[in-house]
Amino acid sequence: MTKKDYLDALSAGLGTMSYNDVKEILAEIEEHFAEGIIAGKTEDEISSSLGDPKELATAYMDGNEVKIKAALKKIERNPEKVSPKYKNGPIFVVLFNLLLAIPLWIVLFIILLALVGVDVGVFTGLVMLALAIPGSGAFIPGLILLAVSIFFFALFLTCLLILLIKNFFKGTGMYINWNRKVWNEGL
Amino acid sequence: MNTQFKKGVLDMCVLAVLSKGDSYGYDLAEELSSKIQIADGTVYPLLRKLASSGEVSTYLKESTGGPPRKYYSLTDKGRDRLKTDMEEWKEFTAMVSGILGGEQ
Repeated sequence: MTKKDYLDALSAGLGTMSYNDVKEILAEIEEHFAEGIIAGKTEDEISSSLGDPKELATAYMDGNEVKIKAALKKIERNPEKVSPKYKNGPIFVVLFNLLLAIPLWIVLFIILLALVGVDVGVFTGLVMLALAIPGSGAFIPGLILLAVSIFFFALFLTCLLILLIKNFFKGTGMYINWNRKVWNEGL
Repeated sequence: MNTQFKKGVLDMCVLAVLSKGDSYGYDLAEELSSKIQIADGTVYPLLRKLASSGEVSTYLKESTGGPPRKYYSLTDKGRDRLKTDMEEWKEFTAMVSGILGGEQ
């Protein structure tokens, strides 16, 4: 394909573009031909290494579409970026944490700690009871029943605590991530 | 090679070549088509897109024994774009390799 044929096919494919755009594109490709000829190639070789002119035209048209979409996106995004919410992210995080999140976290932490204390207490009581039963010398079915029920209560409390502590740390991690997001992107 | 693969990364490749220094269309086309199998023409629409989004800028420079050349130069925005693209590319290829490796 000669340079003229190639440029004709290319411009035919650029139909809906503005006159200026088409002129610029054709000048660009013409420059490519000129460079190729200086490098000692024939027009035919340059045409075939450039690829199908129709495909090239399609690629240019795609780029044009992207350009339009990007322009539309810019208009949508701009107000969001300068919105005060974005700048308020760090301030919100600091205030929210100081006034609400950290006190709440401490209260929850203390409740958990208290529950651990209760659990340890129940176990200690159980051990004391178990030691006291043989010492009393008498076989008291009610006492043994009590010891067994305390044991299961302690077991239940321990399972509950493990679950609570696990979720407490998981929740703290999630909360920290959320804070980071708000800090960077605003609410 | 799969043309869909190339399509997604050519922008990044053009930016990467320009990060080593300014260049003109023909030179960029030769450089890229010698390394990945693409038609020489492919780079021109890309360069146009990158220029309109402000990631590259252009200027004309006289050449010896030929018409003036349109040179392309990476802007700060283009440099930022290249940096994030490269990070994402590394992350992405690592993930894909993980999946491919896991299947063996």
